Amino acid sequence: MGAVLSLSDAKARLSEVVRGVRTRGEAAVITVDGEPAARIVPVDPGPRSLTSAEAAGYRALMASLDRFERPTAEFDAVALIAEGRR
Amino acid sequence: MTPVLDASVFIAAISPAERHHGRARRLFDSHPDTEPFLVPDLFRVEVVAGLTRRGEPAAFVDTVDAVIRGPRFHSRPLDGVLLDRTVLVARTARLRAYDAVYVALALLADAPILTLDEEVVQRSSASFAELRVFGS
Repeated sequence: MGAVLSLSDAKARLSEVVRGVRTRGEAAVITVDGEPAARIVPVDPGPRSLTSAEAAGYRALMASLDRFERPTAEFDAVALIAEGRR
Repeated sequence: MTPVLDASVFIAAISPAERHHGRARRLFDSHPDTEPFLVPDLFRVEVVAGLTRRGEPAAFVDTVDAVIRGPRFHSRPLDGVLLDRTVLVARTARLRAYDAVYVALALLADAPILTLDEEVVQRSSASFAELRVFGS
């Protein structure tokens, strides 16, 4: 849950609010007369390369998938997904 | 270039019992694992729901969900811009709603799309010459 603040608070602390939204990645809601009126949301920075630590974590998780006992019956992933899209 | 990944490719790539596992794995592995895939928000739901319906162990589904929530998958919300493009794609290519979301995302991002769905390949290629589709 992001910050909720009044319009007067937002005016007085706009720099702090925007930096908080950017740092935490959470929206801040501005109220007018006690009612939610507007939202300040973080901008999606877009896709980026994984860091070395992120790549290592990803590889470890993917490798761990091979250790599960899973159903062995053949199936079709397109049909499985299409069933969910009906 | 960050490719858009269809849920069917990911499920097939991590499932040796899947009919097209080899092809899906090659598609999936053709993108360096230090680079992200671009997916719509609903990708996570589709993968988790599909694996659960198939009867996969809960711990396996939890692990897959953790992978999807990680940095390898850059998730894009279905906001107004993507929704408008999706409507256009659905009308132009006569695709199902969810299929249209993936194609619209690829068009918006000027990105290739990886899919195993032959209907998506045929209809989207016929309607959008600029779209690069891999998987057929």
